[in-house]
Amino acid sequence: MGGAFRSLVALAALPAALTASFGDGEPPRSRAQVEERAHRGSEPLPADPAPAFVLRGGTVLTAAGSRHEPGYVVVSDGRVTAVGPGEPSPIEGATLVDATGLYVTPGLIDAHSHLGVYPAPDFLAHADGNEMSAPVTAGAWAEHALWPQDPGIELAVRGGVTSMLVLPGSGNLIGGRGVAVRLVAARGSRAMRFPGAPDVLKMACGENPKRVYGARSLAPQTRMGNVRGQREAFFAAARYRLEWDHWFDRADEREAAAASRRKGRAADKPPELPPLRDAGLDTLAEVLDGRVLVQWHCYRADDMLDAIQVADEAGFEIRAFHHALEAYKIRDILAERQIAVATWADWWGFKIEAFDGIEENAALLAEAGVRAVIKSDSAIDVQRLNQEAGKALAAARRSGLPLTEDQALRWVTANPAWALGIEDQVGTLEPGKRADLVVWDAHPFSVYARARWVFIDGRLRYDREREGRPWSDFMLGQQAP
Amino acid sequence: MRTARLVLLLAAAGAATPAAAECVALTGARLALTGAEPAPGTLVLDGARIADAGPAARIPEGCRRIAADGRVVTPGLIDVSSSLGLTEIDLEPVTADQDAGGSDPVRAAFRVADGYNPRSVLIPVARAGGLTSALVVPAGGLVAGQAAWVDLFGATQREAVRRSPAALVVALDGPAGAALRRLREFLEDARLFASRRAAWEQGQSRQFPWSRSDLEALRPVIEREIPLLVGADRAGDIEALLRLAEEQAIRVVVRGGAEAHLLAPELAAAGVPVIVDPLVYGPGSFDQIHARPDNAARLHAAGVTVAISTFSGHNLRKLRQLAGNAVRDGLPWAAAFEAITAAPARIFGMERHGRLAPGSVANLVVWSGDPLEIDSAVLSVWIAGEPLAPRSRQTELYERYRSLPGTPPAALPLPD
Repeated sequence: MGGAFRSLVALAALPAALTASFGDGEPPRSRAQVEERAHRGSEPLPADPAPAFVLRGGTVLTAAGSRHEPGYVVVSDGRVTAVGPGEPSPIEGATLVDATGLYVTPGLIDAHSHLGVYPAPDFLAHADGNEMSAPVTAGAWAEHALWPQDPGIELAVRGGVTSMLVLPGSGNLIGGRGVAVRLVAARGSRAMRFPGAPDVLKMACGENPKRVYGARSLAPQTRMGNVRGQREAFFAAARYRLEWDHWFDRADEREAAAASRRKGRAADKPPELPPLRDAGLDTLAEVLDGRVLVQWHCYRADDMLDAIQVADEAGFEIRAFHHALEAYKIRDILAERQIAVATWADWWGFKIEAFDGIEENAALLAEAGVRAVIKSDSAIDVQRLNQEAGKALAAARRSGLPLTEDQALRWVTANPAWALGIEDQVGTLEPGKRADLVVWDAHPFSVYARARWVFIDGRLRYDREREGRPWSDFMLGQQAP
Repeated sequence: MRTARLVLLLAAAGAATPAAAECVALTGARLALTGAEPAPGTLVLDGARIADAGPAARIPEGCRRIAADGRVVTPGLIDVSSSLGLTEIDLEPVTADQDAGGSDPVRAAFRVADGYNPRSVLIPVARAGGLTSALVVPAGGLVAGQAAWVDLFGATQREAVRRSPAALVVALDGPAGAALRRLREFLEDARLFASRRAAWEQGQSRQFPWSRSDLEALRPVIEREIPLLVGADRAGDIEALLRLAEEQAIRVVVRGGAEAHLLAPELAAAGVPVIVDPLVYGPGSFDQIHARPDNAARLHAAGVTVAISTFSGHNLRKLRQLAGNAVRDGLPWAAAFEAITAAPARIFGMERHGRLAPGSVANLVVWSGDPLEIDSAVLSVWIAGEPLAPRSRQTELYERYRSLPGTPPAALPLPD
């Protein structure tokens, strides 16, 4: 997965003259080029200076198996360069930041967010997260709905969140692409994209799609209809992918024909037309190629098993089930298949497919070797993901499951990083990782803990002692109390 | 005298129910007395009531002693805006008894107590989270109906419902001016109806655009026996509500109150309590643009009575987390704990609830540590002096799936 995507990134870095020669009017020559064109941005990425600094004196929780009390983290050029116990050796030019009595963790990652696509306040005209005009809208991208002025984004940063996965809603069988973003202020969503992160596909099983379309007497109305809709979408995608692969494979042939035409050989055929482009099938073809990661909303154990069958038949892997309140019932199967589970600490019961939720879900999954993730799916809970992880840990210990602090911290750091396909860049405090750090004024699993400082890529993005004007334009000029 | 250990008792909770009116003394506990942080003391129960509580509590001769071993003992938690026992599954209307429905937005005579399900599986889940009482509230319309106070105990409505009506529930949805106009008219008609009842029965009074039972349901509001419990977030709506309360000489309680801090002095002066969710922070709706994390702290500092609610049915166990967050954002611990115990009891006229004080109902929780802290656990819950094990349908699911495959059960042996 990673390799193919990196080549796409490399393509994006080609000199303008070379890429311009492809010309957007020209049919694409490869799937990578299809994706590269769809991902071009116009806004330069944020480029604040990245200071060199050393956080010292605090308790460092690495989410990579270590707790240094006290410990230090060295940051340079936006990256973590060293982490360890005790005191660091002096580093020339690096500012010493005293974190005595404080706790340092990786930046939190929310693997399931609708910030920006269902922004606050809940204006009707801002409900941009569910394209419920058809049950399969794989060509819709959450990124194109993400409003960077959502006031909730800054509130999430204050809660220590530094990256998140913004997903389309679950009204559709296949809702569209989700996007991993950095929680930075930007004028457009593209500048928030997590560099190099793969896109994801949001799928949904169970009650939601059949309720949305069933109410309109359209398909799907049943779980049978759900599975049928998903299978058929991938049948179409398989055919589409073959058609385009066939086209890409014959690039040389077409070049030769074009050259021949340029030389005026009248006997040559007219230029061959490419297959019809379809944004949704482009997405599903990427799924079949393994470059778009599938994030599947699913509550019930049997629904998840059906989803696994759909994936097996179509030939793709499921990266993570989301919500998955009954995942604990099939944790052996999920572990064997390396499917992550993004769930809540204690939500349950709001619908019948959520009736069997238990507080030990994440812990039982972790014990079985599944990458468990605690996510918010909420503009409120994203502000205290640390507490949510703490609750799930407390529930585990109450029931006698021997989970560690590090394991629970991974539920909101390393494991969501894996679910998003950015585990080589963030999620733990280790040399080489992006310097996304949260410094807390108490143990992050305490209800009383607040983020003191939040760093993203080594830049200080939040300081509780220096709160300024709100990031969101919307909040400007709203009468202060 | 033999002293049992509390932990041992807990293991047998449910099986070892103390006989009625038995004297039980929890010694060596850390007691959360109203207005203070937990401190060493002894709690003496006389059956379903608290006989004494504090560092100098008197233990009568022959009283059974249980060593609490420094555990924190508090009153049971109380959530005063809940759908508990009224809705089992939000999206399944067949399980919902919270909304009277119909096209008439005035349903003052609708009593949720009649639809309260004391066998709801949500109740043991809430109880396992340390909850022992709730105000269960109707929803829908302008005047949703009558709220009931329930203790999370008993298999019948008769045992569980402690007070009904405990409040009349109103929502200021849509333009507040329109809602308040209707309310004002309703209140004035109810006064007229009460004073001309005999004439009305004989057809010698004008007709009212409200049903007889709705008009009758306003009597305890007009007579200030129960408050109007009014959902409102926006400061302007709350301000208009305060005018209505003064003009109509009725008691009101604000429910929601995201922007209430903007009117803290006015609310304090009017003696109007506010029920808040401290996690509502950020402009979730246009009426919450000025929501602040220190809403509860600011209200308390101004002298407003504050209660904290989850406004939920399934998530009552989060109540202590909500209170903990209020502390995080500036509310003193004792005030936050009061906001989920004594304050809500006081607001709804249930003064014998929510306190460890002589004469109070023996609704208690024994905790492993600070009840507002995430890693503290509920060790046992006592309602009316009876210890109940923190078990629920969820603990049964956990036990079934502790080892896989969990279900289906193994084949039965052949019959003999």
